[in-house]
Amino acid sequence: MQTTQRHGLSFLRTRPGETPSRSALTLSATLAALLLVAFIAIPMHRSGIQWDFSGLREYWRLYVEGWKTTLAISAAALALSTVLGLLLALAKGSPWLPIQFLARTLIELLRGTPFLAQIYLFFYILAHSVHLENRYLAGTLILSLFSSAYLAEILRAGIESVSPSQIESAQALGFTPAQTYRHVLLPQALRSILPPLAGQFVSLIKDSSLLSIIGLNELTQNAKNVASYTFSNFESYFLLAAGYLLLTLPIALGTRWLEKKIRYEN
Amino acid sequence: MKISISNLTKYFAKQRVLDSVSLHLENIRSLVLMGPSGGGKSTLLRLIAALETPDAGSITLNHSLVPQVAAEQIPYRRTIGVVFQAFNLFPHLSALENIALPLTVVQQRTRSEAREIAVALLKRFQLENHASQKPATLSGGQRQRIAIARALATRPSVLLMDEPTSALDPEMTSEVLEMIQELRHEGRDLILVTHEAGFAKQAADTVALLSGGKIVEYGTPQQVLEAPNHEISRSFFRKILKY
Amino acid sequence: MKRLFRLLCSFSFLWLGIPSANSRPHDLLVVGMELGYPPFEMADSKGEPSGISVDLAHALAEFLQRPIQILNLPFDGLIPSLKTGKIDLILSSMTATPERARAIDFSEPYLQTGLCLLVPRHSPIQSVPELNSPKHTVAVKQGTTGHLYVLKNLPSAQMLVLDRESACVLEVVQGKAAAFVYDQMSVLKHWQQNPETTRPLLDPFQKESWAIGLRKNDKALREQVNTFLRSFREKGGFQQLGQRWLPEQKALFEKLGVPFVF
Repeated sequence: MQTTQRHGLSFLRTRPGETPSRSALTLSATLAALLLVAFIAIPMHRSGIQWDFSGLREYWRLYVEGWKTTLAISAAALALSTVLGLLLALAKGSPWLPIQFLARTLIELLRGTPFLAQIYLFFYILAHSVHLENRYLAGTLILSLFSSAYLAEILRAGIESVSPSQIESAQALGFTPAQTYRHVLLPQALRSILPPLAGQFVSLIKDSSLLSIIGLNELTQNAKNVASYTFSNFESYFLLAAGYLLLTLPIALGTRWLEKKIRYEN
Repeated sequence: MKISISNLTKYFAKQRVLDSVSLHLENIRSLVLMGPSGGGKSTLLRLIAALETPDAGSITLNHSLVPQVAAEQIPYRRTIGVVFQAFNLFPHLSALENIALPLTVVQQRTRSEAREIAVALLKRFQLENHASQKPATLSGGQRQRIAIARALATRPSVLLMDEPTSALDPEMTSEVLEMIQELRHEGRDLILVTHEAGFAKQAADTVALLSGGKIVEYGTPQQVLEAPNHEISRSFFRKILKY
Repeated sequence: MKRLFRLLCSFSFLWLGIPSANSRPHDLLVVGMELGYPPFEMADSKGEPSGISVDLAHALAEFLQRPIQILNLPFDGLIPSLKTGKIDLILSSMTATPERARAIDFSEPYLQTGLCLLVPRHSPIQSVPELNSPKHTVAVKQGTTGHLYVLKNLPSAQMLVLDRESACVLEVVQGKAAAFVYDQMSVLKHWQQNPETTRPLLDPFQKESWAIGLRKNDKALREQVNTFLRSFREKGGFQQLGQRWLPEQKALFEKLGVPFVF
């Protein structure tokens, strides 16, 4: 690691091939944090709203339970939507026209309509008609479906970004299409779509909050309830935001780590 | 190597790329295809490799018909080694893993077996120092040589190469040509598409010139390169030998 | 146009942090209600506010000789909006409860009603205490007195809290919920709309009265509102509202021997 002598404020700029000095990093991080805090704290102070978290104290268990439920639903939906998304992406690329068209229609419907409407229609009409009354199961299912449509498009973009000559090389070696997908296409596709993939995972966690409209006792639902018991809307939603941040930050950080690992290897 | 091409025709979107090509050769070790771009030489190579299907005609290589049905083409390709002009190697795998992959996937060997074979191949071509490097950190010449090693890993009966040095600078070009020359001396059967007239002279048993979808001329390198009969051949070689 | 301009001004002041109550022109009366509760608060075909509460608000404005503006806000956002000065009055079929009275002030009550049950048609449930069991799911609307009642009095039941009244009714219609705890008028209406699948238990098990919400210590306005309510009642204003908007219900209540709301 080299630290060259710089003049004036230029030490705060990064240059290709150089790692920034520790003082530059700490100073910049502090400045950014201060600015953000100011951006939030000043309007808060000016609004004249009295912040009072004491009313929420007796309901802390609801926040914890809600957070755990959100975690469980998000984790399950993450896994399921990845599988479904992969299936949809493969179906969309299928040479069989009916399968291709089915996948395309499904993806457009799921991506082009509001999730709110999908939840209602799925739970009260579709699920009800097949006697699926368990709202947690139904909620996780529709969340997975919704997210899978976006994942499918992201995966497809990743697959198509792989050079066709890679497919040719695999074919020349005598790989079957399945082997080509598994050993050549997918590993490369996944590497190139890591940022949008992570973004979609984060979206999924936040989208799960909409499931409160069918009464799932996840974090948003519980925060809303506490807000109505105590009339402390702002305080409750503040905790709500913090709760979601606790879930989404690991994904953001994890992705950065993964990207670094892959890049270094390359 | 015995190769028999009969009335081979291939269209790409209404464009006739190969026009009823016929060629019958036997007892040769290496065949070099040359000619202007768009002349059909790459297409012919790909048809021999069963990466494309002809619209008419057939090819017989070493007494077996090159299959034209997808289900048969996949096993056939496993008996042939192919090297392309560029981007052969899988960028997410190291040199060693690239060579080992077809061994585990296609030949269903165990990982340790595949590793052994891969390491031996790398050693033979003085590439063992690069075993754990990914293609992005290797030079073009090193990449192509590893691609050739990978093509050889499954012990194919014939090695096909489509302009293997066209994307390389002169130094790397000679690196790769040396390797091909080595293979030839070992007795490998080769079908090569190249612009390198000098190399063709040294390495080829037979040179065939394709232009406009037809074989214009074929014969020994001396015949075709030094004393071509056809006007097309003459003007082609004049152009490429000018500089 | 002028009103819109004034409103924009007051909003921009809010941004700069000066509480809007000081900068808004004194006479505009902003009334908050959730336009999703027919026939009290709803939107007509043009999207304009209409209903019993809207009529009452206009009558109040006329009485006070002040221009009025009606803001459509979600029910559980009404009290926060009142507290921050975004609105001056809450006229949204809100029950005056001691908990709410800690945050805001209420006028005198203008309507008497109570909590009732809407149950699936073939349900054996006859009274509220039967619902206090983990095998019963009880639907309530977020932030309403029904919600608070179930929270306090039915701790063993599975409470299902939903944003929308229609979703609560759907839960009962589809048999997913054993009961929907809501106010008398709405339960009656929903039964009328879903006669095949639901049944009402109309005798209120918790009496409630609705009042107009005001900011704490807004004494002058409170006096004025109470005066208005008294005079409106004397003049038969409420009778007229009942006749205009709830004629069937009025007749049905009389037939069932349950006292009518006004």
